[in-house]
Formats: sequence, C-alpha cells, structure tokens
Amino acid sequence: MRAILSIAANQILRLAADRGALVMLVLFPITLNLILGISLQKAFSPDFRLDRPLRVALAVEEGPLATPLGRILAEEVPGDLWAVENAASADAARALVRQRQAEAAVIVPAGVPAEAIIVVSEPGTVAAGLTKEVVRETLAALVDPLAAQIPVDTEYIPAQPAGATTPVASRAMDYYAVAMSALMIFFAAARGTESLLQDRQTGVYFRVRAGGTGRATYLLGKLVGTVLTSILFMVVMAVATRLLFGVRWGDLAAWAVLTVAASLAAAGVNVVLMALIRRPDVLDGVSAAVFQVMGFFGGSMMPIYIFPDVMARISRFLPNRWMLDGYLAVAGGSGVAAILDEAAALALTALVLFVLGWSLDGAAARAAQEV
Amino acid sequence: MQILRAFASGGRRGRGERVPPAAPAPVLAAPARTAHREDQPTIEAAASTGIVAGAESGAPVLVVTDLVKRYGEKVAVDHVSFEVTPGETFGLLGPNGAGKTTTLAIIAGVLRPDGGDVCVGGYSLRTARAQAQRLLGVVPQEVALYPDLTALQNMRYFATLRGLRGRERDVQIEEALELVGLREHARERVDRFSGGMKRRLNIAVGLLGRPRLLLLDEPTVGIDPQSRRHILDAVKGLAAAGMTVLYTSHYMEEVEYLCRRVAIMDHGRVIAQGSLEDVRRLAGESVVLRLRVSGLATPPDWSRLAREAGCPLEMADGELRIVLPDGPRQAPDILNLLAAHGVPLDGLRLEAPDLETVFLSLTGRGLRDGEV
Repeated sequence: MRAILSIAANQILRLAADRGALVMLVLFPITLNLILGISLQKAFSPDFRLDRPLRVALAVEEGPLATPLGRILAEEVPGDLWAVENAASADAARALVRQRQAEAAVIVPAGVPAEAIIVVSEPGTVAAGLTKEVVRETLAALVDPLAAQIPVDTEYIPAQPAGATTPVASRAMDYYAVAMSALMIFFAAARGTESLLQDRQTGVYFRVRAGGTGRATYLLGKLVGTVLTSILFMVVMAVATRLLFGVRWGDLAAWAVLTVAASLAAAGVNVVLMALIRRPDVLDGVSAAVFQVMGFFGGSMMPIYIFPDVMARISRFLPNRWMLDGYLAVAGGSGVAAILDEAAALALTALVLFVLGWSLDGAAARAAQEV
Repeated sequence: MQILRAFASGGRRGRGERVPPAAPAPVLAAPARTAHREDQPTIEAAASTGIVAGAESGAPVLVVTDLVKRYGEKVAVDHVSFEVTPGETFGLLGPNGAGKTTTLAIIAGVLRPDGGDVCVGGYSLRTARAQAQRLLGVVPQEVALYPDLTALQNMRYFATLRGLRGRERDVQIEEALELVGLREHARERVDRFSGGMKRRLNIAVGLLGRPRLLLLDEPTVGIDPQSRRHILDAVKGLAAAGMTVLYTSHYMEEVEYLCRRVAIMDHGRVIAQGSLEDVRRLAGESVVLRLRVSGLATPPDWSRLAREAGCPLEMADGELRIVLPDGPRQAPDILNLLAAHGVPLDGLRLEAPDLETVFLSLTGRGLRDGEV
C-alpha cells in the first residue's frame, strides 16, 4: 500500500513541478471557457432559434381553462417552432425530458390560472427559455385577460422574476465551465498514463521492478495517481471558474460524487489508450484526437441542444455527455440522488475500461516476457 | 560511512592505473558451477555476521548458470554461465546487441529466462526472487530518473520504493549523493544537470538499500571524458569498499581499468572468460598494427581488403586497426597490400593485444559501432 501511495504521490509532485501543466490544464481551459462563453452567449439567449423545431412534451390536465389552453398550445403554435408530443400526465412529460426524448415539457395544471404553468427542461440548455417564451407569446395573443395573468414556472432553471430573461453571459460561462472541464479532465488523466509509458521508455520502470516492486503495485500506483490528478484538476477548475466567472457548481456532495466518478472514467479511457498504443510520443497525438472528438460529440465544443438528432443520440454513449449532464444538473440545483445515474454510468464504464486496460497491458507484459 | 571512507582512498588512485593481474582462471571454458541450495542460501546463511562476513567467505555473490533467453527464433542469451565473487568487479564486455542488457535484465529479476537460473547471494531467482532482488542494486543503461524533479526528490522516491524510511533513508541518500559528488546539487532539478551528472545520479539511486551486488549497465554511454572518469573512479571506489559489481560495457578500456575478470559476449554467447591476462592470451602471438590514414579520396572496400589480407581490421576515427595473428612478421605484407589499394598512410605503430584485439581476432569484428 505504501508503494502504491508513493507512486501516486510522485505523480502529483511531478505535476506540481511542471509549469507546462499549469498552462495546459488550467490556463488553456479557462481561456476557452472565456472565449466560448462570450462568443456563444447568443446561443443561450431566449431569442436564439434552432434550425429545427423544439421537441416539446405537453401534459394537460382537465380544467375549465386548462383544457382550452392545452388545445391552443398543441394546435396553434407554429410547427417550425414546436414539435409537440402529448404526454398522459405531468410525470410522463417529465420522464420524456429526463429520458431526453423531449427537450422541454409544458405542464398545464387543472387549476390554472391559480396554478402556474410549468416548463420543464434540463439546466444549461436553451430549451426552457425558448419554450417559456413561446408559452407566454401564445398566452398574450389570447383575448382572455385571465390567460395573460397565468404564471409560467420553470423547473431545473433557477427562479427568474416573471418576464425577466436568464442572465445570458453567465449561463454560457456556466455551460462552458462544465463543458471544458468534461473535455480537459481526459487530458489531465492522460498525464498519468503517459508517465507510465515514459517510465517504461526511460528505464524507471525497469529500475522500480528490479527493486522488487511488482507490476500490479506499480500499475495501481499509477492508476491512483491518475485519478488523483483528475480530481485535482476538477477542484482547480471549479475554484478558478467560480472566482473568475462566478460559475456556480451547485451542491458540494453531489459535485464530489460526480467528480470521483468522472475522474475514474477519464482514467479508464486513458488506461485503455495507453495499453493499446504503448508509445508515449504516439499516445500523445492519438489521445488528443480521441479526446477532442469525444469532446465535440459530448457537447464540450457546441451545446448539445443545437445538435441534429443523430449527433445528440451519439452523445448519449459518451462519458463526456454523462459528465456534462451530471454537472449541469448539479449546477441547476440537483443533489446526489439526481445524478446517481450519471455517476453510476461513469463508474461502471471506468470499471470495464480498467479491466480491459489491465488485460491488454498484461498481455503486452507477457509478450515482452516480463516476470 | 564505510563505503565513503573506502571511496575516499580508492577514488584517488592514479588515473590509468591498472589493476594487478589475478590468479589464472579457466579460459574459454564454462565456469565452475557452484553448488547451492535454493532453500538455504549460502551467503545469507552467514547474514548474522553481516554482508562483509559473507564476502569474506568467498562464496559467489552471483551465479549465472546456463542462462537462455529466446525471442522467437532469435536466441538473445545462449547458455551463458559465469560467477561473480564477493568484492569483485566483473566485466561483461561485448558489442551492442551481444546480449549483455538482456542478461542483466534477467539477473535483475525483470525478464523471465527460458532456461537456466540466476542465484544472488544464494537465492535463486526462480524460487526466491524477492529475496534476491533485495540484494541487488540496478543502474540501467538509460538515465532512469525524473528530469522534472530535483536530485533529492528522485532519491527519496526510489528510496521509499526500496522500503527505506525516516532517518535511515536520509542517511543513505546523503551517503550516495556524497559518493557520486552531487551532495551540493541535491536540490537542483535533474533536467539542469549535465549528462555526466545525470549518469552519476543514476548510479547513486542504484546504491540505495546498500545492495550486495551492483549491476551497472553501460553507465558511461554518451558522456564527456571528465564525467566518464568520475564515474569510473566512483565504481573503483565502490569496489575498494568491498562492493561486488557486475559491469557491462562495450568500452574495453573501461573494463580493463575496472575489472580483474571478464566475460566477452557476442551473439548471446560467452566467447571468452577469465582473468584479463588469460583472455588477452587468447590473441596468441597477435599484435595490433595501428595505421594513421589521411587524405583518403575514395575509401576502398574494407571488407574485401580484410579478406585479401586474411586479418581482421577496423577503421575508426581515421585510424586503421589490423590484428596480425602471426605477429609482426606479417606487417610488411599488409603494408604492401594497403599501398597496392592506394591507402595513404601517415604513421604506424605496433601494440600488444588488448581486449578489443581479442574480440577482433575471435569474431573478425570490432566492439564498437562503425567497425568494418
């Protein structure tokens, strides 16, 4: 155990001694956060229009005003704005959003106008803002003065005074703080696995093994160091973006659970890449390409809600997307219970990748006839 | 501090001083295979009296028996056997690719042999690898250090992995850094070190844990002459302090400077072993004709010339070295042959054979890169 911790601590020590790491793992993502947060703020504005209809689940309860309102929302809103899917209940509508079969849900309760219409959406997306605007415009167009007074609430999105828009720049910053972290955590983890290959190339691995440290101990030490590096990276990103851009990361416990799971998954991806490639110079280039493609499909470059359906579906198979969804949910006010699915998916992926990477590395060690 | 004191005297020996000849030993024959019991180490049995007691007992610290290592069809180590006795610096000499590093990796317990066995301090690598490795210090051919850390951070890391803790760790680190002359540079980053300093630190790490046997794999490759001298003196100091060293190199002059006994490897096999004098005798009546060549417009086909001359030769750094198996009487014929091929000569001298000559006469090839 002591050897494992020594190997892991050595990686952190080397990270601290490396100024290049400060640039690559802190300044670079923060700069991108700033650039994308400013340049893409329009994409987070309620005025922003997708080049396709928004998928909306509509749940209408029976009521004197609710029923006609529901019919108007289903039939009168232009088809280029909404593609409406009727849901049997409010919970069913929420489930459609949760399962990402709809980008937003509109729940019209039986008690309107005393009860508010609820717009449900994922946090950090434009869908809620857009949907809310469409509902309001539709209500305003009605002659009935009662309808114009119906409140419209949102779930997941921090409460806003009626009629106010979400603070646009801040939301883009929030999104990209998470998005850049979900991208760069893979680069942070890569430092650990690259150091493993470098150790093999420079003779350090030979020296350590000749000193009596077993292969399993050595690999575990590197793995622990890799996970710790990733966690450290997320801590630095969270603190830096909070101080610089006022980004709110949400509940600490949920954030911590997600960060551990995300760090394990990032380490797992890197372990497999390392075991497959086994040359540090090649690994560097290949990893960068893989991480960027994953980042693009996972929503780190462009917000997922503007993706075509096919790409949005692809993104659901990537750990980047799970990280993004999880962190955005936490930032939107969710606790541990709400992100358990994402955390479990990340941890399970990590486990599978660790086993795969371990087997591949073991096969390579046997081929090299290592003891 | 015993090592330090001994180093202080051993390290100040005159440069170029030759080690006195050892008693004759078998040449071109397999070494005597020392009987050992895998479950009852010979030297370790005397451990109660310490390492020096074991060394004084004369039982070999290292016994390599019939070692074989194959990579597919290629035999990298071909039935290699030798022994290293306590306090001895044993040289493993051979050109690049001869199998020295592979042999060392097996001895270090990192590579699995296909046949044979290695015993360190009486412990067989096959049955007691961990115990054997505890007696070993390894200095790899590469500079196996972290350049982005300081010398001290590197030492602490490797010391911890060797199982050293607290005061004992600090003392050993200090001793090792002192020995290689880097104590003043302990808090400097390794990437700011010269090549020679890195090599010395590489050795210092190998000394952690006070190994009974130090494996040095080409420790002077790619460094300046001054650093090389420093390293050789350090190794000599260690030997003077009683440390047993297995030293591999393709520099015959280093092996001749440091070692009393050598094994010469080629194509995975030991082609000669014994004391320096015995091995040199393998060259028979041979002498080396060294010819300074200058103003050579078009180099001749050296291989063809060697075949015509019937002698191994090599051309390196503007000097033609020709081994004359039948002694100086062959020289006129060779000079005439060279003149016929238009090789302009700018001086010549005859020398007694050295290890390089032995290798050249046994294999027809030089030890170093760039041979004919």
